[in-house]
Amino acid sequence: MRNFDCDYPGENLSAYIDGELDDHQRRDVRAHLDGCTRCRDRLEQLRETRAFLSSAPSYDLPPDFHRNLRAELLKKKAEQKRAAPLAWFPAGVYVAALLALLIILPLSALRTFHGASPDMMSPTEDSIQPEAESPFVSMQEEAEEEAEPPTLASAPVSDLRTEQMRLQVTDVQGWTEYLINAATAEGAQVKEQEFTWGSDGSLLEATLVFELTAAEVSSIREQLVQLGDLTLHRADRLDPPPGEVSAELEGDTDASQIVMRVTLFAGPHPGEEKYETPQASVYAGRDGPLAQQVRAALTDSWVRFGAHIHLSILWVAGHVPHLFFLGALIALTFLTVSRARRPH
Amino acid sequence: MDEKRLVALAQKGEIAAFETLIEAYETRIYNLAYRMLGDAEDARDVAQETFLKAYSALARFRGDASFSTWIYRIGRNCSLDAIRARKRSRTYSLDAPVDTGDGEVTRQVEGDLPDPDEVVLTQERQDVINSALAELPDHHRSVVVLRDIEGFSYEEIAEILEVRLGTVKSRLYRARTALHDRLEQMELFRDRIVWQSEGRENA
Repeated sequence: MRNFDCDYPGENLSAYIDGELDDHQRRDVRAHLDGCTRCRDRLEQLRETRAFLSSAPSYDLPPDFHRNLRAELLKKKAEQKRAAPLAWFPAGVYVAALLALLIILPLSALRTFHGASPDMMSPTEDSIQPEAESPFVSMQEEAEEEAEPPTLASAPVSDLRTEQMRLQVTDVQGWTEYLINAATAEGAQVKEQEFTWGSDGSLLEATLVFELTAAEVSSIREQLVQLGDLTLHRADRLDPPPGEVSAELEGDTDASQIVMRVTLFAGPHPGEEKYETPQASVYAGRDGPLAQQVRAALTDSWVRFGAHIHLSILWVAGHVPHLFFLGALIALTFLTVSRARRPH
Repeated sequence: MDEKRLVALAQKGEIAAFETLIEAYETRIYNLAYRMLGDAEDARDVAQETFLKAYSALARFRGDASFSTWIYRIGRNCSLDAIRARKRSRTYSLDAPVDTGDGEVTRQVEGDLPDPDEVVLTQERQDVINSALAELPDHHRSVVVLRDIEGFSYEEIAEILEVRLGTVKSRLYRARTALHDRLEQMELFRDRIVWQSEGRENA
């Protein structure tokens, strides 16, 4: 705008068309406009400019914007979570809940099906000597040795160099975040990550590669195996995902620094069966103790599931409840202490 | 779920909560960056950078300003950083192709405009606006984009840009004046573009 003779402040005209003047200023502008054709022209030009700019249509977001952003956010989270000391806390709660479940369920089933037998309900007297020469004890021990797959948590960790884990989950993103939380809290670094996205922008498969010491792998693996085969509702999530997890582990030998490759994927995994209970659906692809219990229980009903767990645990619970509770205590204590010891 | 609850969840690092929180701002921040930088690819990078920075910095968000103001402030800073980086690395070429979102065209300069009957009006308008904006100083461009394209009040703009209200007022006037002169030079104002009917008239 050139060659204006009038020196009335133009920014007042500009603010006038925006409705950003108070009453007094507005009256002043109007009074001036009444007597100044040049300023009426200036006002008109400002209006034109503003209208022209306002007419600009909005640009649409690039189609892959959300997907890229989500991948970057996950990376960022992995970086940030390295220093988070309490990320294992939910896992500790789950383990405690699992143990509580194993204790309470058979006892309540016992009450339902066998009545309040004082012998069963207060099994302290029988169980003071855990090494009692009961034939049941040795039978149970043999059975457990057979049932325990050698590649799972029982495998000596120092024998592993590369560890692979495939976890089938319904909410891949939720579990990816969870795993990043858990592993980075153990001091692991996410070395590689690979994401596969569905057409709707949801995360279909995530592969995370960590580098850890043997002890860290052991800790993480045990947590995951504990969590496996059970329905989990994560307390810290916006929408708690029903996590249906199955795990298989493959080992390699000779190294203390271990590369752990975890793949989380949605959809059914070949060779696995899906079991429906009134409470949850469970995937199980191996003959782990939990999978066996679930499968046996599901031949009839959820109630029989409880009864079955009762029967199978009764051998142990009836004779060595002290060991059972002691194990639970040790596990919880270990978790608490290992949390407290960690720096930060 | 209200914004405060989402902020609280996102502050714990919940990505899903954060995504819900920024949903309303994604397109607007992208547009801000696009107008500031005049380039789709740069705008995408800046918008992504803005939200990543916001995600990292969210723990320090205390709610003194509104979330909207806060995230625009980050968007403005990221845009200015990108402009500075670009100025260091390459010079702005008038002959460089402009991505209009539907193939590339060469930037239109005065006297070299296509027949208005042969172009899609909106694209030409976008192009004209972007090339006119590109000639403004950064601090003028950000004011006029926030006001006339993003529709913020003077007070909000003052908060986003962290300047006084009077500064917003005077910069906006100067920016509009310069834009008008530039558009007039391009002989677009009265003859080539039909715009009056679509403009906002709320004075």
